[in-house]
Amino acid sequence: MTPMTHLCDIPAAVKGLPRKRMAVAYGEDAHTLQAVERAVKEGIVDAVVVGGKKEITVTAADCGVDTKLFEIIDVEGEMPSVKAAVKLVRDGDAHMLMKGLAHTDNYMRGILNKETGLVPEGGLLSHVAVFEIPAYPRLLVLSDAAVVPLPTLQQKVAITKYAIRVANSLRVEMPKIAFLSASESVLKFPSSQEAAILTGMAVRKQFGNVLAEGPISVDLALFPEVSDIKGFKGRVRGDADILIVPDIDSGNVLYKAIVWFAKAETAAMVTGTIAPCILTSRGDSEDSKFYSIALGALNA
Amino acid sequence: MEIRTFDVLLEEAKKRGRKRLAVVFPEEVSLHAAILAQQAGIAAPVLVGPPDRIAELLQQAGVSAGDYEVVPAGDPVEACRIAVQLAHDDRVDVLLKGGAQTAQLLHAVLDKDTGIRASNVMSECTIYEDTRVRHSLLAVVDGGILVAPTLDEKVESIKNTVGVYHRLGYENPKVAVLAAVETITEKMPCTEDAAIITRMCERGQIKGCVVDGPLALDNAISPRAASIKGIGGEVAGVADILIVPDIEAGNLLGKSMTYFAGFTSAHVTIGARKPVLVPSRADDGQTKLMSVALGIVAYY
Repeated sequence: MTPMTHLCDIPAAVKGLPRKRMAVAYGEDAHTLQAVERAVKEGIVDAVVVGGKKEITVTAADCGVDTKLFEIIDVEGEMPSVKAAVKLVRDGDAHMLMKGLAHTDNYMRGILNKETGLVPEGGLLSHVAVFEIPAYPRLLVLSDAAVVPLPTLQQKVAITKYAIRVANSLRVEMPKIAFLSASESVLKFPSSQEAAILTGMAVRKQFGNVLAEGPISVDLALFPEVSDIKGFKGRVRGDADILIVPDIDSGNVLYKAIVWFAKAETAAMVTGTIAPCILTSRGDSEDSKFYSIALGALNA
Repeated sequence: MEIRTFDVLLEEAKKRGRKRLAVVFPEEVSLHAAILAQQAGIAAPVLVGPPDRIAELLQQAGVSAGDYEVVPAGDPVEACRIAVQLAHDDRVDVLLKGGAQTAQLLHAVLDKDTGIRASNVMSECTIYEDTRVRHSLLAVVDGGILVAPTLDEKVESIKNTVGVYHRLGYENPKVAVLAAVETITEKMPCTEDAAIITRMCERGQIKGCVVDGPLALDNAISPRAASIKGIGGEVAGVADILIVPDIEAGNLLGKSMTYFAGFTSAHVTIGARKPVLVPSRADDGQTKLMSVALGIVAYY
């Protein structure tokens, strides 16, 4: 089973699977409807768009989207739309959730609600990004660059497990995980020591079939020539599939540096929920939205 | 060539000629050790204490006073000061605690100005002649000095002990960091320490040895137990040095080796510029003699 190496491998894989149903929370804007239209037309998902029927119809007409491609559930207002879309997923009437025009805060609130939301008991809401980087020969998984601000060790364990599942969905059977820090030496601050502990857990097979190294700097994790120069002998050296970051700041900085400096294309989703939740923003490219929906469908 | 039996250890000590053994405020227990070492040809005792009392003890022991140099000291504290001064000036080679309190002696040893401190941490190296399982010399660190060692203290005690093993002819001793289980959990902090220390060794921050942990005792010394649990690596099943989580574990492990397994032992306090021997009243003659031999071979 050869691992996927391009983001377009994701929709290709999804097309071969039974089609999943995606609930769109407050899908009243053109960006959302166009993304939905493409995903449905390319056979990635079936969609049910929740929002004001009148607004949806008018917007679709304005931007040339055919409303016959998806179901519409008529709900007025942002928060009620989010709640209704979340309920569809919770009740099993949809397999995944997409954020439409709703503000991220409201979307997350709907997902996190203890009684009506999508995070199971003991679960951790987290974020996984997948990059296709021209300069790197593998798809690269990064977590958590957007949701958990200062993960505890236990939270890093959960974050790592979700990232492994996503890597497995990309057909990476034995993911190589780099627990990132500023240096590969074990130093006397928590993130360095936690990286050492997480690596120990991986060596003791507590994460299943993986290879892991940490603490390890990002250059040693991604570029073999750096390991050669430094004489670094690690279980992971220049060939990481998954990068686990110490905190959200390093994660977000790395995410954006990869997108803007390394010219990467991305797919991303929220994990730790009973079903994948897509969290695209207006800044994302068309392809990024499409690949994110495909990633969600692949993991639904 | 690795020293694997106490017979060979004693022969190696003899090859180094008689070492000057300062007995700090001699009483029956310590004098017995000094006499055994003198008679075995490995020590030239220097008895630091009240001359009258010493003469009496020598007569009671039935040995020739001519073989025993005496350096006057009025009380245990003065004896500590004088003995450490002699060691500081390289006029004795080994310190053996007599009637002085251990704390008094270590205080003098560690004195910033007049002492003979070398390492940051003093640790006890207790070596057992394992005639049943590993057929080798097995160290338990630390059943006598470090009560609840911090991560740093565990690291320093490993460095101290590895130094001893190099001198015993073990080029790359295998160090097992013991715990009750071989998996890592937040509920058992010593397993986290073990994971950190293992990574530190992987990164070359602890040199001249191979470290693995956490390992349960059976995983550390039984290849069969290690293979049943699927634990690979260079240490499982073949450990030379056993690092325990705390003094209770070390003391219990050590004494069960002595009483249940019947292994002979030798122990020396490491971390100063000269070996420091702290005999116990429970030590038999063989242990006392081998401890002197160990101190000599470990340092000279």
